[in-house]
Amino acid sequence: MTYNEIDQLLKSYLEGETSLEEEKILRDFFARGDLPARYKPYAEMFEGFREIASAQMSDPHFDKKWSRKVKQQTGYGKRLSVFTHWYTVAGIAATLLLTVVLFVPVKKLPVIKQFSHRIEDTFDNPRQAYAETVKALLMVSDKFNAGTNQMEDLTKLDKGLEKTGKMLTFNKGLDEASKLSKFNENQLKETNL
Amino acid sequence: MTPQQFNETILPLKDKIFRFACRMVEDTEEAQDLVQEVFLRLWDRKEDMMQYRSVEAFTLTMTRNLCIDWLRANGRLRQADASEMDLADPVTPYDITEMRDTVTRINQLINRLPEQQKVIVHLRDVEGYDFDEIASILGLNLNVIRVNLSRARKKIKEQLVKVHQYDLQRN
Repeated sequence: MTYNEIDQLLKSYLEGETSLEEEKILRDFFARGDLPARYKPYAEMFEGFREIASAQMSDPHFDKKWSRKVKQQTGYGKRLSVFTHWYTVAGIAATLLLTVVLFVPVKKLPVIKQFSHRIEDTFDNPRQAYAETVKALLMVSDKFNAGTNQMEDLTKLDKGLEKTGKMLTFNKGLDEASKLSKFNENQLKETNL
Repeated sequence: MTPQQFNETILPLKDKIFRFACRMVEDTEEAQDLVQEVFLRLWDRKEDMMQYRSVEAFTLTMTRNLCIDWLRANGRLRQADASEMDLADPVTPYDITEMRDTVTRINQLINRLPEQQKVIVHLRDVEGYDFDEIASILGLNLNVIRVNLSRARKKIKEQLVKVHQYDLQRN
């Protein structure tokens, strides 16, 4: 590129009429070291622009901090998706188990088959056997109830909440009572008269 | 826009946003805080960000608006119509030669320009945006941009010519 062409480009540049490509030609030209003195101001101008454009945020941890923030803000959603994933797995497992239990005769189940020869009657008297079974089941149900006892506290909470419901009717009562004060005023006026 | 898209598209713009904020408020510390603020706001609006033709232009427009709010709140907002202010802050060649390095000199010369010229010359000559992008960032028409850019470039060049003549005479 001749100096003449550069001068022409500079003229258009100062008028704001150069394209980005033409401005790149100028930038490259002025980045050269060996320039006539008259080009020095332009060389400084383009060098300044270039250096300013390379300025970066002085916070080197900005990216990390921001990425962490993004993760934190989306963390809830992610946890939820892991849970729903496990719900799906558990659901499929339960369905399979149910299918097996419902459609395969008990005696043909491999586990039962394996132990069937070992299952023997331990009681001669059916009544006694029945009583023992009831006893065993009662014990199991007792253990279950021990866990549900804690739930009773919740019913207390429910009762408490019910009572707050009554506050609403109390409020209505107060509204009605405020009408009484108006009645009182009227009464006072009448007595004054 | 998903968080991942946000990280891929918006995060790399941080230095551009920072430089633009620096240009607007002329305060590096404050510019850093404003970048944080811009990012928080962009994050809040990430869902409807895809509807904008240029996410980058939208981001810079938001930066500009936040900077204007900050300048106004701090009583440092210059009048928008500053075409009459061209001679308000004359710089002597001596002032400029005192600024030893090129970056400081050019930064000062840009910052002393009227508001519109300052922002336009920054977006074009520092960041290399085309006129359409500048128009969409600043909401100005192409002719206004061209005229202001021309004035800004001429002014910077004149000041630098003076400085170099002064330097030559002094040596």
